[in-house]
Amino acid sequence: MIFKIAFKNVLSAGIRTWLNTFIISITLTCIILIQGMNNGLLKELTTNRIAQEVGNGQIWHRNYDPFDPLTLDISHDVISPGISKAVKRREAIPILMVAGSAYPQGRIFPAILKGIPPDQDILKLPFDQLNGNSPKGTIPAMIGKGMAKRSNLSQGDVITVRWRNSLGAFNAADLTIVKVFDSKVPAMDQGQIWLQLEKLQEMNLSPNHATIIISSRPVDELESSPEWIHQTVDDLLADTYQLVKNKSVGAGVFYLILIFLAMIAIFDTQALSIFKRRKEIGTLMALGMTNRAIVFTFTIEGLLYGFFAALLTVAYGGPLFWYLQTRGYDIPVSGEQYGIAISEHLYPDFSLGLILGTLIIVMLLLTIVSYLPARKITHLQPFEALRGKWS
Amino acid sequence: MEPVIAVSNLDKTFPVANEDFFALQNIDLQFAPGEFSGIVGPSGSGKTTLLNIMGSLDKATNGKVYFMGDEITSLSAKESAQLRSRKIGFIFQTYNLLPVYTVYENLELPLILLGMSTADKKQAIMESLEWVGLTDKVNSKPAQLSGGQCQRVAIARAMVKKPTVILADEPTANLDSENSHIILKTMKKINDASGSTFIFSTHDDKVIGYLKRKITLVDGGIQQDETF
Repeated sequence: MIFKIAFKNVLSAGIRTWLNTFIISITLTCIILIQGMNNGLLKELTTNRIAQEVGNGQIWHRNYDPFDPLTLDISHDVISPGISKAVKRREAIPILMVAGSAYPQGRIFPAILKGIPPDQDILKLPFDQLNGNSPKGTIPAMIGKGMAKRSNLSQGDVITVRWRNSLGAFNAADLTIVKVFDSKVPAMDQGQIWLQLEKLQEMNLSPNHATIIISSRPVDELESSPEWIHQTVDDLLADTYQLVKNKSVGAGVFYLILIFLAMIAIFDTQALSIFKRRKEIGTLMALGMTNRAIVFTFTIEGLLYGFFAALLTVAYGGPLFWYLQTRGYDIPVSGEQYGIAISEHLYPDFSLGLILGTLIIVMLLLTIVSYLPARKITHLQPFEALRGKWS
Repeated sequence: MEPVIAVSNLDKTFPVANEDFFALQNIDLQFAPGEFSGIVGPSGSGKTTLLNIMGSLDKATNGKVYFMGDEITSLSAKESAQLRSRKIGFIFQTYNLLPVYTVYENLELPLILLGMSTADKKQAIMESLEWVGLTDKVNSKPAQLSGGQCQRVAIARAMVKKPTVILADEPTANLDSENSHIILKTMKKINDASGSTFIFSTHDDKVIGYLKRKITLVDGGIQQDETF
């Protein structure tokens, strides 16, 4: 009965009902949309980095500092027997890093030479192309699209590189770019030249050496030693999580403003409605309805706005969410320019949990703001309500 | 015969400028089953206040009110609501019909509160509407009815649950002479047929002409209690 009364009252409120419904619906849509885009961004960032850079965790040489190329000379060592076994089982791949310089077409820029086993299948990048042929006297090498664009290099170009080997002697070699690969992960692209691991070990006079090991199994399962430091997926993605978290904080402020405005609208509607309907409240009391049931009726009325808003959101937001999730959307600038692993085309992630979670939170808030003005009724005397007065 | 309502030594005061103003003072009354009586008096004499206290819509300051022998002055809000729901029908000067409901739904509301089945509700509603001659308006909304028709719907709503007592507060105040007589004849007919006790609060001579008992209230006290 209470639902029927509330439903009729809400419908009879006409334009006020539809305005409130529309405001809450816009709030719901915006929250779900922005949250979905953030989730999509996080998914894109983490998926790309796990597939192309992080694997299932890494082991770093204790001197390795990804932000200091000058330490690379002292950041490699012979792989321990335990890790060697994992490499042989194809559960881990060693990567050697050597600081050097590249001389494309008479220019010079710093580069990190990275050696990787071409037949690895942990990172989803086409390093098998390093097994391809190159002109005699040159070494096959791969670079990413971003690097190719900045250095004005393309597939088939020959480039001279210079490095200082583990004995401290400078050496140089010509490389042929056998493949320009497409990676959304800047750490695999910017300033990187990829070679066969064995070739780089030979060039650097450091056989069986590696700087980092990328694991296909949870990194904790690999042998640990004081020389090698385990980095879990969460450790390696901490900066990505932080980036999205910072973005979420900004979005959170936006949600709060939206929710606040929507709740103010509902509170105002409820307060006005209760004030205008004092006589009706008195009549319901005279007919035998308890104060508590009347409060409940008004609270349900507020919740019905949320229910209608949810239906409206599904009606127009549903197709929008579906379209964006399946077709994605273009972002105006490439994430590579900002050093983040993001493509120019993003797919938001609108999970059922996100949609239901948002609805539940908004409904809970609606219950509170609908109840707050209605609770005055609990102290109202029937004869006062019939006279249109508050005690 | 046990009175339907008995009022014993009842006072009602309101605070006015730090002093207690006596709206009702030392009221002793008894209403027998099937009475068609009225509390009459000028504005401000305390008629509506007395009616509200007898209908458990308001509390007395002192004294006691008994309904079918049970004291109701100390009932909780919930118990008062239950008493009103089961035993008392109200008719108001301004009809107090819920505007968003049809006539049928307005009459259905008190029956829903009683937890009546759909079939029983329908039968009771149609019977009530027959008494007031409005079966053809069952799907109309109050805004589509005249004042007289609205008050007849209010009467039907008050009697649909077959209450022991119907309390009518100035039921003809908003009606013209013709409609007032229609309403009063309808209520008299119901009173004769159902045996429900009718207690009016009024200063309308038309109403007074129909009463079998007239209790005159002046300045919160009973001045006269006449039976015709």
